[in-house]
Formats: sequence, structure tokens, C-alpha cells
Amino acid sequence: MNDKVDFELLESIARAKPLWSVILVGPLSIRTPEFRGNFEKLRQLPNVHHLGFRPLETLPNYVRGLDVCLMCYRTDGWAYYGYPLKLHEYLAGGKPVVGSDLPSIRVFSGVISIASTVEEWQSAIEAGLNDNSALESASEYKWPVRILGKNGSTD
Amino acid sequence: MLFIWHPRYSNLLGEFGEAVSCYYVDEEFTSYYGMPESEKQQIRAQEEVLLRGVDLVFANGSVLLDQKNKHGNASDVPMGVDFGLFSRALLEETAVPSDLGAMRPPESATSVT
Repeated sequence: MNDKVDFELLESIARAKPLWSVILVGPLSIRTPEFRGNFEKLRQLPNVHHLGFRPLETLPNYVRGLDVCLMCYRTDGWAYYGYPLKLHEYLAGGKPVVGSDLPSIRVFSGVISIASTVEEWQSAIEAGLNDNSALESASEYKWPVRILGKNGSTD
Repeated sequence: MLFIWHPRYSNLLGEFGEAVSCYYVDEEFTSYYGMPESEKQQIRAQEEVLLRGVDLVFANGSVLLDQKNKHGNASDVPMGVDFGLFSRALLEETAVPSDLGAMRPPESATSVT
């Protein structure tokens, strides 16, 4: 949970959908006082749960327990240049993914949903809740494939 | 081989008699929220030493590649994933943690009236 996350947007989604549970996993590392305040407002909501740090080896267990995985990032400043590793981790877990409209995320618009406004986020999450298909594209982003190529060679 | 991951270490370039030097850039170091302009200028200058001086620049994603390839020595290195680990989320035997399992499942769109 760092300055890249759009806590105000998450708050709007959580307020609009009180029957949804918003689960935040990861240690806090928010430097900007304004964003820290936004996070504190967010986590006061009854349907928002910040679980804090969880060990890497347990993250697949958490992904399994989620219905839709979110990459709810700001689209300015530091966040604009981001390329979230969790994009591929979510896809490897076979879950529907919704992400902010960032250049690095837009590349994967064929396999995830991209949203900007609160209404678009709600619609995309609702579509994800009704999507039972596991996504296959993540296999292209296995580390060995990234390093060696699809045919397993360095040619 | 010298492998540098932050502009603040640009002064180390050439200090080890390295045969090959690399700069791995995975974020825009001048884009932190609230960063003073003077610090941005310092980082830009340090990074320019790296971009011009290293043999290879590894940029994490196409956006950074566009920014950092001004000397034609950069390559795009996308993120990868530990597929074996995270694909365990698909397995029946992978238990949902108790702190998640106790929560109410979301109301699906089809049940909204």
C-alpha cells in the first residue's frame, strides 16, 4: 500500500457497494500526508479490510479467496510510470482483473478490464464477479519464458 | 559486470574496471509526489551520466523504454511472474486463509435488483 494506490477511488467504490468487501493486502508505505489521510478514511469503512503484510508463499491462497483482483492506481506522477508485477501474479491465479488506465496496463487490455471513472470500475468489477473463466495469457509471462523465449532458447 | 539500479550510484561507473556496465531502471525516479525540483534536477543529471555511460539499459516496460532510450542502448524488460507459485490459486487444495474466509462474499451483479 503505497502512494501509487488511488485510495479515494477505492473509497468511492466501497461506499457505492457496501455489500462488497474490499480487501487490502500488503504493508503500509505511504509517504504523502494527503494520501495517508485518504487511506485512513478508506479503512474506516466497515466493508474495507486492511490485512497488512502477508508472506509471499501465502499470496496464492489470498488470490484464491478473492473474486476480482484490482490494480486501483492513480494515473499521475510516480504511478504513471508504474508496471505492476501483481498484474501477472493475478493473471497467473486465473482471476478476473480490473486495472487503472495506465500505459503499462493498457498493453494487456485484451485480457483484463480497464476502468477510469467510479462507474466504470463498478461495471468492470461486476462483470468480473460474473466471469468464471480462468485466463491463460499469464503463461507467456512465466520468468523462464521471459528470459528464454517461448521456444525455450535464447535465440 | 557492474549492475546499477539507481542514479545515485552513477559515480561508481568505471570504478571497478568492469567489462560491462548495466543500468536497470524500474521507475521514474524523478516522479515521486512532492519531490523538490532541486532533487529532481540532481537525479536527472545523475541518470544522464548512467544513460550515456553504461553499455546496456534495461527498462522495465515500454513507457520507461521510451523515456530512457535516448542513446539507443536500452531494451524493454517486461515483468515476469513466478507462475508455479501464483497458479496455485487455481488448485482446489489451496486453502483460502481464515481471515478471508470469514468475510461475506460479494453480492454478484446477477443478484442485484
